[in-house]
Amino acid sequence: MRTFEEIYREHSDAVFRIALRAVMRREIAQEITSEVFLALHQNWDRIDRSQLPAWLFTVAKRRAADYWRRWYVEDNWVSLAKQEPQWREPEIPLDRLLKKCENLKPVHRICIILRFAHGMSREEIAQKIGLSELQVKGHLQYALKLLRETMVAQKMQGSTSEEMSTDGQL
Amino acid sequence: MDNFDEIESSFAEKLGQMSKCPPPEMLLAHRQGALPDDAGSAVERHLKRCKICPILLEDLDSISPEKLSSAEHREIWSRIPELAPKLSAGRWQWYAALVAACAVLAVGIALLMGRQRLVPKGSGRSPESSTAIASLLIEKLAPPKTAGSEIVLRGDVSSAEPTVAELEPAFAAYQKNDYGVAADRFGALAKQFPKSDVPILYLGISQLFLGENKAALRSLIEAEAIAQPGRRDAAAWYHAVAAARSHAPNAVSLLQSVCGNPASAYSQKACSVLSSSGSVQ
Repeated sequence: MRTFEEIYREHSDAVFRIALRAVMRREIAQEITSEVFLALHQNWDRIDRSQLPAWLFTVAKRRAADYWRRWYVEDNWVSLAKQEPQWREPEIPLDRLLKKCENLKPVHRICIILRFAHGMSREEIAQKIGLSELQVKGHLQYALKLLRETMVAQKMQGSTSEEMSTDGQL
Repeated sequence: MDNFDEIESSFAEKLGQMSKCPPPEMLLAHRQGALPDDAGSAVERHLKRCKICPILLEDLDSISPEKLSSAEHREIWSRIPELAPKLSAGRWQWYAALVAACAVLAVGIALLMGRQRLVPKGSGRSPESSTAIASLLIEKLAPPKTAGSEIVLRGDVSSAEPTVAELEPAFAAYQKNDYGVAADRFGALAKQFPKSDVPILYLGISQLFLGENKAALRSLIEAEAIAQPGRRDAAAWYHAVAAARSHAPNAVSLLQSVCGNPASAYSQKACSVLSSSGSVQ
C-alpha cells in the first residue's frame, strides 16, 4: 500500500495545476493544494485509495469553488457586468485581427488581450501569467509589430481593409 | 511616457471601449466548473456574446502552468504539521527502492496467479465483490510510439488520423498527469477525427483519472469499437475498467472477456481482479 508521502509526490503537481487553472493565483493554488492534502491526511483511514487521484481533484475543485464564492461576495463581476454600457464595435475588430495574424503565439495573444481588452497594466499581466514585467513588455512590442504588419498587408490587399483599420497605422 | 507607451495608447484608442469582460481567472474557473451557479451562467452568457474571451480562454488553456517549486512543496508540507519533519530529500531514494521492490513483488504475485487456471463465473457475486471490482486501480497507458508507423502521419487534410504534431499537446498534458487539460485536448481531437481511435482512447483514460467514470465509459465504448489492432486489447481493458468503476451491469462479463483472451497483455490483470473479487472459481 502506498504511503501518504508517495501519493503526495505523485499527485501534488497535478492537484496544484488544477487549482492554479481554477483560481489563477499561485499563492491561492498553493493554499488549495495544502488543504487538499490535509483533507487526505485527515481522512486517510476512510478514503478508498483506489479513488485517487480523482478524489484529490474533486476536493481541489470544491476548494476552488469555495474561493470563488468568497470572491463573488467581495467583488461581484456579475453585478458590475450588468452596469456596463452597450456593446459597440471597436474601430479595430481585435478578434479578426488576432486571427489573421498567424505568427502570434498564445502568449502574445494573451498579453494583447489582457492589456487592451481587459485593460490590465503590464505589471498585472506579469503577475497573472507568471512572467516578468520586462518579458510582458517584450511580448507586447513583438505582438504589436506583427499586428501592424498584418494591418498594412491587409490594407495593401485592399479587400479587407475596411474591416481591419482605416489607415493601417497603430 | 516612452515611445512604446505612445504606441500602446494609439492602439488602445483605435480599439475603443471594450466590453466588460470577466477576469481571466474567472473564465478558467468556469471551464473547470468551479464557479457558483449564477456566476457560471453569467460567464457562459458572456462567452456566447464576446469574440475575444473565447480566444483568450483557448490560449490560457494552452499554457501549462509551472510545477510547484521545492520551496512551495516545503511550504505546503509545513501546513500539515504531523508530517512536516518527514519531507527530506534523502528519504525519497529509500522510498523509490521500496516502491521498486513492491512493484517486483506485485508482478511476481500476478505471474503466480496467472499460472492458475481461472474459470470465470458470471453470477452470484456478493456486494463486496462488486465493490472490489469497482475499485480496481487505473494504470496509465503509455502514449503510442511515434517511431515506426503506429501513428499515421496524415498526408492530406482529409485524412482520418491526426498527425503526431496535432497529438503532441494532448500527450504533453497527459504525460504531466494534467488530465483535465489532456481530456479537453483529446476531446477536441476526437471531434475533429471521429474515425481515429487514439484521441478517443486517451480521452477515456484521462476521464478515468479525473473520476468522470460515466463519460469515460462512453468514450471507451467508442474507442473499442474503432480501435486499431495494436490498441484493441488496451481499449477492451480500459472499457472494462470504466464499466467496473461505473458499476455497469456488464462489467464482470467485460472483465471475463479480457481474462479469457490469453493473447491480451491485460488478461492476467483481468483474471486477478475477477479472482480477488470472487467472480472466478
